Amino acid sequence: MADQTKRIIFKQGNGVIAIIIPAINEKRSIEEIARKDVPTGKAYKIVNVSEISSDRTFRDAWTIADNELTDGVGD
Amino acid sequence: MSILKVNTIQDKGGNTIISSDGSGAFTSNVAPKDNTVTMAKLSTSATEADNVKQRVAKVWVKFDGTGTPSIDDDFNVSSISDGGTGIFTVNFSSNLGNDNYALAGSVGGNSGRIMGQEGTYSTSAVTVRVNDFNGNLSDEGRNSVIIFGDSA
Repeated sequence: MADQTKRIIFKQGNGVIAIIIPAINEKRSIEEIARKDVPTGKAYKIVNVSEISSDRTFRDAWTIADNELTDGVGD
Repeated sequence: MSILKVNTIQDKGGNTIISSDGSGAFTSNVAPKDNTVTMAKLSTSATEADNVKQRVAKVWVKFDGTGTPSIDDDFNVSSISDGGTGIFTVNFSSNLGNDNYALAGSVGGNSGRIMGQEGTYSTSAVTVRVNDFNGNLSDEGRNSVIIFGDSA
């Protein structure tokens, strides 16, 4: 089971962040999922799920500074 | 107790039904009939009949798109990408054979919601959107995606 306590975030072309949720039956590690499912060349960061707001009222305004995406780049 | 040792079983017409090369592996020419599909037939074995492979969903997932989105259960899914309100990409654990697959999606929890496919089909992922009855993108609690198609 992939680590359900983690999420992967990256910035989409429109500037809004995308949040990757690991599947519960996936055998890959969270790092392997990040490299596979983050679009090629996009920088990402792995965060604790507790850091993601559950209030989605302004979801489409969520963004992040590029220099915070420091954990790797999508394959 | 008796033991029957044979390498080949044939029908009355001389047609081989089951044969063995002596190593313990059998080749079966018995085609599965309706209502005889078992879990054993759902393996990735190269000896499985093609009609069984075509009947099996290659991807399925149920997920919650509200609050902090999460996946309830899945098959052949590595992750879901939450791209914003009502936009979710299902990433496949193993790629499909081509992008001519059939996709079905449903939304539960509130009336008038509908799920549709967004963008292009890909062998590695597919994006769906959820709209409310006014056509606006919407986050909903019970989302399901099922895909039938060819394996890679």
